Amino acid sequence: MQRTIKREIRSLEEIFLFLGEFTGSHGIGPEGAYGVTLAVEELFTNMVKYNPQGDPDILLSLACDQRNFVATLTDCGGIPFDVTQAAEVDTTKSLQERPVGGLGIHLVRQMVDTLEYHQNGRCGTVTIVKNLEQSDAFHHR
Amino acid sequence: MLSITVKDDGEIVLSGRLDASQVETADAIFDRVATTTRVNFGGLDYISSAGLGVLLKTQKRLSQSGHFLVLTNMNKLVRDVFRIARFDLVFRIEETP
Repeated sequence: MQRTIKREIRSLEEIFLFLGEFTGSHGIGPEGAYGVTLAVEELFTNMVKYNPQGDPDILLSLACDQRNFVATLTDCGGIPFDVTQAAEVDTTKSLQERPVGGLGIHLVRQMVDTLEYHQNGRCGTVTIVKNLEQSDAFHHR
Repeated sequence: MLSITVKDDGEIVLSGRLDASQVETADAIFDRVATTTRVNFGGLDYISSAGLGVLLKTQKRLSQSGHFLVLTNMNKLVRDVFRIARFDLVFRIEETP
């Protein structure tokens, strides 16, 4: 299933509804649903914030089988950004040293099993995969 | 959607989801917090990095006057997000029995 989503933060409500319908109709459990929902929010929000010159819409596709829940976000136009190359944040810093931003990609990396980026012409596609066969905890790496 | 209520004793009660589209709503409440305050996560189903940012910003500000947030009643999935972010190091989190 896929949907075109307007490039604005308030589109998150539509994204959550789409994800909720998909996970509900496919019997995806709360851990798988949470991990993919958070990853989609973080990646979509980055596209809205850091690629405002991109096309007005971003394409969100969802698919699953018995083993994996896969979401892809396709962002065309503007400035391509390979999110897999984003610097890792230092989560061991003290309260005063911790920056307020930058945690999103760290959470994505920890909560899904695969994060891939492909550039094809003027479009960048981020693919996230959550393995549904794992236990009831997030995949801590 | 996010629902935030402030009880008579100052406790902040969260329910729904604290995501990037709800930051302004959350900031409007947390920016007014000036002393050590309990935040009840009992009805909160979801938090993302944007929600963590609201809490971290508040904690940083409060710490300058010796105050802090006490986070209570988190469900397991929300608690996992705090663990992955290593927010155990910067927040007092009361474990749910």
